[in-house]
Amino acid sequence: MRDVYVIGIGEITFGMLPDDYHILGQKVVRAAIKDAGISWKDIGSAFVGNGTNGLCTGQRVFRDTGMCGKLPIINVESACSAGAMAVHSAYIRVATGLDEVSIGVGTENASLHREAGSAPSPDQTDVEGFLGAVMVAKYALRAQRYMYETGATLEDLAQVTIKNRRHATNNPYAWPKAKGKITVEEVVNSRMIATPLTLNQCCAMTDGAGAVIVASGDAVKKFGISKPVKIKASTVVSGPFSTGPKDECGDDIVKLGSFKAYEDSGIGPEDIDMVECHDAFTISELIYYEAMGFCKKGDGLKMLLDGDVTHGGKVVFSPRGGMLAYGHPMGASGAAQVAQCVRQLRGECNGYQVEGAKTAMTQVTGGGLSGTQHAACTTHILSI
Amino acid sequence: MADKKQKETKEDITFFHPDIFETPENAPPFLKGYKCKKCGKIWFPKFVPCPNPDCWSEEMEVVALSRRGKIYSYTDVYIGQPTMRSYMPMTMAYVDLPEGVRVFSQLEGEVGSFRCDEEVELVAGPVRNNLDGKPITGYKFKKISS
Repeated sequence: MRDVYVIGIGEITFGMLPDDYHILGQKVVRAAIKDAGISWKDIGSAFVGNGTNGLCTGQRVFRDTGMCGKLPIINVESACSAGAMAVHSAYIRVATGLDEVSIGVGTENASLHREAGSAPSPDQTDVEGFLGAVMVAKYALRAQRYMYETGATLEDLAQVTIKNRRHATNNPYAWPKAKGKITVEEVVNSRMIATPLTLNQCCAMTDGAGAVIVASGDAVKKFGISKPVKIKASTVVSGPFSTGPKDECGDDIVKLGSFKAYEDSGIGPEDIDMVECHDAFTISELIYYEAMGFCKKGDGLKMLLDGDVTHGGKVVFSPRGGMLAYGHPMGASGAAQVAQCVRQLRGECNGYQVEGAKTAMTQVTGGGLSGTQHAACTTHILSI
Repeated sequence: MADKKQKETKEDITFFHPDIFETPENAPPFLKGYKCKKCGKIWFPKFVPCPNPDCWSEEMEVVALSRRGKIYSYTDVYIGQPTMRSYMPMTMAYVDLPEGVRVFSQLEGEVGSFRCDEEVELVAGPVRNNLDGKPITGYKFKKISS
């Protein structure tokens, strides 16, 4: 396996968008090619992550760029992990020497593809889904147990939303409606969704896209890339399956994925400056501090309340604002996380820059598959 | 004949789900675990063959699971699909049974009245409506009646 670098990124501002997923995808593909300063002809393969927008989504994205017929296009689906898994797939293609340059794209339009007001319909063979286990209910079960075991309060959980939305204040790619100042009262008193999770503790189902162009060391030289970001680890794991009791205040698959990434990269949590994690709900980020090894079991809340996970702390969690400030278009988020980490490592995040960031990590799980904590988890460690 | 078949189908869709839940006429309802005759592991819901990759045995024995369990966690849920909305808010929970099985279930009883580690017992009751608006009977847990 040879070294792989990110040489181009494409981003758009997330939100409830009138353009369908393929238009959003085309925008970030063009932006990434422009950012890299290469030609479309230099790209050897494309991977497109999407959750729910239909069949042949990748070919639909690339058709209108005129690139269909010129390169293999492979569609990647693992619910929320799809976009990051598309980047991982592009990475593998370059690492193994099949291509010099490949692109991973994540794109999703949820708002144009949703029956008004309905939660995702369950697979009829999934007992939990049939009985009403929407995603927020599953995380609410974790939050309730976490509060029971640790004594954390609703006001404590609210601090995750407050921090992440504050981080996003000057980020032009975050959802304008969900960034900036929000008070404890506004979080705690917003509409109850599933106790203890109120509306402002849940990510919105927004629309968005992200693209990441990866390349070999030779290609970096050939194109004269000024700030290549090295992919130190790109790992995908699947969720351990058991129908017995699990520690829902921990996370087996996230732990598995994070520690595999540490092993692959030779980098530990103490060396990481910033993390974009799967903060779909306030409780998720709290659980991940511990599952990813940034603190001991039971110390997550203390990390948050002590300011260890914001600017000036030990490690900045969700400097882009996370999903709590972007919303979470299923297939898009994983690629957008990687794109933002690259922008941070290049030092281009005016007004929300993590000072001196040299190493960044992304983590995104996917799929509420019964018997697993998540079906998939994709982790990246990047450095400059 | 056609009428009979249609009637059976209609009845079937108001009960969830004969493979995992039994409501005998003169005895309390129970959940069905699937015990692997080779490795001894008990699974819920139904898995045939055994999902243990070192086993994959086809020989699975149906066992009645304990009717009492302990709430691992619970949540009062205010959102869901249209066919569940007339039941909302409703409490959902993970219930741990002594056989080492964790069951996701709705709880019957007042919203806000449940606690972690509280003991509950299995009952049959409506869990959602079908598309005709008829309630579907499934398994639930409720506080233990003293």
